Amino acid sequence: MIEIKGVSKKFGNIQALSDIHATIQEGEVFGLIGSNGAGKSTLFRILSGILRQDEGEILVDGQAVYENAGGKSLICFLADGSYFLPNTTPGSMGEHYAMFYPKFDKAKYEKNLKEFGIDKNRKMNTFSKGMKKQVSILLGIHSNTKYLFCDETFDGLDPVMRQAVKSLFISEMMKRPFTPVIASHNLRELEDICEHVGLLHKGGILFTKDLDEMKLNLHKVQCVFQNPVSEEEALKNLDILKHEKRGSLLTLVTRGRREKVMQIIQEENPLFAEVLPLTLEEIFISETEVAGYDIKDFIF
Amino acid sequence: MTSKISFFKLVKDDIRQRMWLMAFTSVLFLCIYPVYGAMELENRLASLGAEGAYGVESLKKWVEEFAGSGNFFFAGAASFIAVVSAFSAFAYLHSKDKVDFYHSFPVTRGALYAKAYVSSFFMFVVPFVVSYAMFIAIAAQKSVLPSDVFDMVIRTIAVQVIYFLLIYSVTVVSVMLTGKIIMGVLAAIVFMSYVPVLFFVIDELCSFFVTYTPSVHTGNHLFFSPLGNYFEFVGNCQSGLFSWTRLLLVLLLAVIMIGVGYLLYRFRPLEAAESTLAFQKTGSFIKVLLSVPLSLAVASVMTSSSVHPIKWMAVISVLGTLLLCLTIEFMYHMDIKKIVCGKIGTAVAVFGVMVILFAFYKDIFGYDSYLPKKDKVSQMALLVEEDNGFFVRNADRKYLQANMTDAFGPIYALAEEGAKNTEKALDKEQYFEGKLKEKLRCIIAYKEKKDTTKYRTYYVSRETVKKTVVQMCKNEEYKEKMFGVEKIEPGRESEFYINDILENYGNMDITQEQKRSILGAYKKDFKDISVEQMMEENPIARLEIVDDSFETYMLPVYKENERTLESLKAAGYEIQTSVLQEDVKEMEVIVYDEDTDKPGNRESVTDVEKQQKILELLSYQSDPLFAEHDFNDMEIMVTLKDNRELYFSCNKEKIANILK
Repeated sequence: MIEIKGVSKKFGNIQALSDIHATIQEGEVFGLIGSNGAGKSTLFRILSGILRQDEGEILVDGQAVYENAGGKSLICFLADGSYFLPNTTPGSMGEHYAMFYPKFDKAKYEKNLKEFGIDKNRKMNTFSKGMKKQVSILLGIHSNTKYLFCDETFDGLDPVMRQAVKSLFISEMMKRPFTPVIASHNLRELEDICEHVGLLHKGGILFTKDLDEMKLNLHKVQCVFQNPVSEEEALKNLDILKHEKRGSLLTLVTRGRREKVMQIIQEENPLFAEVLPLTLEEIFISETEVAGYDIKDFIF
Repeated sequence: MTSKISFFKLVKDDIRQRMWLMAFTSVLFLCIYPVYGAMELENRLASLGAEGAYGVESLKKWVEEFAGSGNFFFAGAASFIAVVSAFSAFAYLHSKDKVDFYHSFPVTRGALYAKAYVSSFFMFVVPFVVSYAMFIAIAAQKSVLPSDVFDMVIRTIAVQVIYFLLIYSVTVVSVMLTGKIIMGVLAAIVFMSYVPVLFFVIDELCSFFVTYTPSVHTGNHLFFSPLGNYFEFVGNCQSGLFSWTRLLLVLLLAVIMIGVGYLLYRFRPLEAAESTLAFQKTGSFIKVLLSVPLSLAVASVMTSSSVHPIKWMAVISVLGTLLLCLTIEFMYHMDIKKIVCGKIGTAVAVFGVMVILFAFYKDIFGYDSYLPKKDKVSQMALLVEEDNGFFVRNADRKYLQANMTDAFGPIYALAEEGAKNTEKALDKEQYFEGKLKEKLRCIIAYKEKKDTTKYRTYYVSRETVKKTVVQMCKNEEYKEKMFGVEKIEPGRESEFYINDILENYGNMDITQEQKRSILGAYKKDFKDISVEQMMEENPIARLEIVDDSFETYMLPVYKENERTLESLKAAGYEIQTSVLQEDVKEMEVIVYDEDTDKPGNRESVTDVEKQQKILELLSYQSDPLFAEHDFNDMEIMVTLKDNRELYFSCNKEKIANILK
């Protein structure tokens, strides 16, 4: 488990992180969402022990990370920048990682390189951005650390590769204790893999929630009521996050279990009522509006 | 920290990654020692033939110079490798991507720091020892190794390794303090030159003081630069002045710098990568520390030949400080709009420069009026800048330290007169214009009871100087030390020159035995002649000796120095005391214009009788000790029959009477 307790970090006059509290449970895929400049990379660097927080505490399985080789050995960090040793090949990068991560699975790494169509003896400075990302991810996965931090790792991957990587993650999670933490500003990318998400905005964490739990408890309903009285009654009894009316068609985003929501609406004898699927984006938009943030502040 | 085994894996991996450095170092050192060394050895062996045993000895001497610790060429190469090695080891700290990569691995900063040091050290020492050993083997095979080869090898390895560590560590600190490679390079340059520049500035500012004595403060400022110290040490080794004590102190300094580097690395915020400074809060402090001495240094250089140096130094220093501060702010932010940031630091720097200049110009420290209480002084020394060329010394500080005396009463009285002289500034100006007539320039050393020595320069009347010297020279030992005669030794390489009224001779072609004889005779004669005599009488010749360490002694020869004259005659150098009429071809009297001091009328003297009378007035051209040169003299030019021209000064009135 990763515990983030009251972490703050300032760079000069810029407050990069402000009093972050979050818990990342092991064995689940955690998605860290946030716009550019939200503080995702800074948080990752602190979690990886590269930067030191100004305030607060980070514990990874009860151990501090900063300047603690034992704590850091539980983590592998894949930075956005994807730096590799000069004049290196995927094969020699594997050897380099193996030096730091004793559990590095060289055989499996080379096998997966082959499956991904990457020549282990080819110079990395001849690789495209996407290929470098692939090698980076494979290095991270095969380091066999308990936690893998991926900073915008899926950027640069084609859809097929993205799916392949997601499959790898899931496969690893099934075989061993493995907790990927994926940062991205692309909600769609994380929707089908993350189980838990945290929203970072301007250095603060707005919320961390279980994704399924969010989807179970938030619904979009389109309905038409016979008269304004029934409509008003229904709106009064529902926990509305957002509502929009076009003509007589009412579109509601409401909290609560699906059965309960439909029961309340049916009690008012609507002419029409239907539950529509909510995307992760719509969920987030609604949640952030409730939190008082304008959607324009978030560029997803 | 990773396990011991994995630490060596770290080192091995680092060496593998920086193999280009090891290859470059190896090639460079191979070129110096075995390749160049063998080539030079071969050339020298080829020309050995006719020189016999002497040739082999000189070849062994060359091997000792080349393979010893006094090899400048290797010192330069080692310094270069040290700087490149430091940057290659830690420059990753200046890239955000690289920092993320290296510091995300499960290894502590201490391990990373130690790894970089061990691998860099290995990549220097191995190529050095291998190439050096190759040269030693070649020299051994040719049987031209010096007898103390083991000593030589140990010293050489010690010097090169310890100074490599020092230069490397200082460069590492430069990298730690900055966030960009170019800034790291600039920081390294600053570290290598800051203290010498500071001393230079202090020297220049002290020249505002009338009583400041630059000649005793000519310490080698490069000593305080790591690179300067290295080359100075190598130079000393070349002169046979190797010092283990100093080398161990350098090692201690290197160890301290390693510690400083580690602390900086440990606490360095890694987010400083790609910023100008690693520790942002030090920005203003560094700005002031850099801009103030640099602007003063530049102003000193620019105003060195100015007619009004003080005025221009103030203007240039203040403007220079402002300009430097703006430039430094630009370097910090890389934004032209932000050059006016850090106003407080800029104001402190500008104000600081003004305060410093004011303090030195107005002598608020009381430097010029300094006169310690007599009971606070344990010893004093006096050096008179004698303008007649007597007993010239090359190193004032050494002379003063060797001539300290407890019986300094007369010297203290002289110092009192000098310190209280209200016209000392004017006297200094006249001295440097060559117009100081009634006073002599004296350097006084005060050794205080707390063992510190202070030096001051005073302008004191000739009478006082004469009186003081007469009193001090009542002590025969003081007299000998004052004129330095006793310590002159006729070394193997020393040169003797003699000059009399006819400007005969020059460099003497004499044997070592003859040199010893002449000098021995002079020392005995010197005991017999009093200081009062030296102040009254003109010498008839001058014996000049340049000893093995290039110290020059100008020894006046008087007509009473019979032993000296005999020895000179025995060596084939008879001293002439007059110009003979029969040797004269022409004579001319030259009158100098009093205002312009340039030659004016020239009158030819053809009358033999007049010529004879004038010749009787002429003597060897040297005034008595501490005597004022009579500027009312006329110049007499005598052309001898061998066409040599001799110039004499003679009293104008006496000449005028003869010519009437």
